[in-house]
Amino acid sequence: MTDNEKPRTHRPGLSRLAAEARRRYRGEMPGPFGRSFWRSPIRGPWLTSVLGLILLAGISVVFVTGLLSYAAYNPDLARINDTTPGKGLLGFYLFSWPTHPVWLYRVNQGLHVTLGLVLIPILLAKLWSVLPKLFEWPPVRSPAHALERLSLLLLVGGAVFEFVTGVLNIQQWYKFPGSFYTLHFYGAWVFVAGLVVHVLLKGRTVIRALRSGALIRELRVDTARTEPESPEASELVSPAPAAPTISRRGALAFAGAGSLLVLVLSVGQSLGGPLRRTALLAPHGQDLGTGPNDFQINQTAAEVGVSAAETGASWRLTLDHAGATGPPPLRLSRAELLAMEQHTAYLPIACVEGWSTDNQAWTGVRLRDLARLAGVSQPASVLAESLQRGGTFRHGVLSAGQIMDPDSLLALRVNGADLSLDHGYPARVIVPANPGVHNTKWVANLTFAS
Amino acid sequence: MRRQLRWYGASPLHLLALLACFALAGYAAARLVSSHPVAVVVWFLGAVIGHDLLLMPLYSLADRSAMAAIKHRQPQLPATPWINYVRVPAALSGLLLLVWFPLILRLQTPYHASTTLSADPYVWHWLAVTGALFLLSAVAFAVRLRRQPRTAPPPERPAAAPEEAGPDRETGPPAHPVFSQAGPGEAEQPAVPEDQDHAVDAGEAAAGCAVAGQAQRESRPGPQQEAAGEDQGPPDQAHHQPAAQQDEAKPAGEAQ
Repeated sequence: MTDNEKPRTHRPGLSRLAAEARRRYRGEMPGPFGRSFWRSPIRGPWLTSVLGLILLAGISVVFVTGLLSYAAYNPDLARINDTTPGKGLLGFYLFSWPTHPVWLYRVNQGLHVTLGLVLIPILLAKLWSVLPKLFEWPPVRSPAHALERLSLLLLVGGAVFEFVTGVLNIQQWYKFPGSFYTLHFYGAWVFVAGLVVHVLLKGRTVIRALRSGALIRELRVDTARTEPESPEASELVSPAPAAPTISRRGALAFAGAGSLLVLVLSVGQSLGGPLRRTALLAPHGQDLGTGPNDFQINQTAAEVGVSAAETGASWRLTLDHAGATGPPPLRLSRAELLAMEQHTAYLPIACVEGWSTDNQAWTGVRLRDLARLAGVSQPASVLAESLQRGGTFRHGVLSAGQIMDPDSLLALRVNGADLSLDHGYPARVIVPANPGVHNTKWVANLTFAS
Repeated sequence: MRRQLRWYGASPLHLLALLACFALAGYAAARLVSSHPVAVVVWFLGAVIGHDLLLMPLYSLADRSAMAAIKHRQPQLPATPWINYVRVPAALSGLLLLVWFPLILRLQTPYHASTTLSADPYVWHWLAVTGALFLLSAVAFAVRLRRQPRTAPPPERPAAAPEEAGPDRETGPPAHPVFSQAGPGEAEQPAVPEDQDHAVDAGEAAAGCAVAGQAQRESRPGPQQEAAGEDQGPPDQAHHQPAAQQDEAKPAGEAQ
């Protein structure tokens, strides 16, 4: 037999199938607007529900840690702490951020950022699983359907917006329009509004889908035995499924492998120690060295225009109090500060971007001792101002609880050595469980309020 | 009231939930757009368009192209399912690039000035991880091939669905009533390789050095094979032949 003869023998089958296809596609919209365009045999309510549940659990944690991180800045304490002054009712939950446990902010932010990164493959898989819905025809069936689709725009737009702004911010690629805090905070509320209503409307569908194929049973099904769900069950199911190249458990495992890979390559920047170098793809995955000042830096003196001349022998700390009555401001040299009672505290640096350091041994003067020296025995807050010229966080206000904690210091030394210039020499604030940017470096003025 | 509800298309609770959603979203959105209204709206809608109408079609197309390209060379390829051994490392590498491109491409110019760290290693890290992923995948594929018996004599005819085996495969039946071939623009779900008793579907079974031995006997025939009414060949035989040789010696499928 020659090759030329083969097609003829196929023809009966071909025409039968073509007729079938014609029948199937009759009356359908062309392209992605027709249901038959979508061919994956694993798309359907089961897969979407499982991915949705994983995502819901993860995003709940990311949302709560995000709200906590916002509270950690104590935005209600002072105008300059508040990156979103127009927040109104959205700040309903704010509370005075505690100082213990000392790793609170470190764990909170590591969880927020790392879990957020880990959820990206799950989010992509979830969006893939519902893509046919974007093209459903007719686009609007009823006013209820139109409103629901509008809420989905908030949900999908909000989700991608939040993940994109977060991912760009931790890499300090500030291409988004405006302040990260404004965008990420309000964007989160838009996203969550869409998410809550989506959960309310789809909850029953999810429960039904997961009951229809018990999780464990479906996880035993390999590619060969993978079958499409009933096209009547949901618009997600293809009426013309292709042969499976992957099982549903395989699809879940793929998304899980993506999550695991992202986790392994980034979590080291939050765990620190010898694991830091395992963070091959994370902004703070490199070791600086083994010296006393060789731990992570996110803002150098040169970057913010702090020169060696300003921080040299002529540097003085101005200790003052708010209000007209009381003693005149005190000006203290570094030698005078070193002559005061020194205290050592073991505290991490933890950044809003998710990276953190192990506990460092900070040595300096307690903030509460400085408050007393300034003539304020019951401080309500302190404004710490840096030598640095620009930047939102060139100054910050700490709360009464933060000042009075015995581990809250104006640090002069770290790990047995003088602070390096990039770590805030001659003096910096270090407060337990405080967001990194509020541990003001190159402190020039401390103004206590009672 | 009932008529209004029928016009609306859902229960009053549905309407209530959505109105609450829009109230909260509107409250937050007014603040979100306050400083740069146009740019923020562009970013928000751009996020949807960028993902749904750009990223997803692109990776679907890439997956389809890979399937088509490798299917085109099917006669030279082994029978073991191959696509997941390509799409998994490729997709994972793409995922890392998607997340870390500012770092990998050194786009964040103040990086060294801010952190005192070098931005240089990230592109190498990404390439090394990508290489490691493909290497792992290749090793997994090789292990899988090795596990299948290779010593038995060639079967009477190759375990191939007709449309996949010869140079005329393009003219073969394009679809099966239940499991048709994926249409253009549609991606198959990427997946991790599975090493269970993975049935071989028609495309996979068509390979030139296909192994028709125990592995296929253990697995169920793929749907297209059932459709073609094709036998897998004698169960305890395997063949291990260059494609060209096979083509002239043993014509494929129901044409015989």
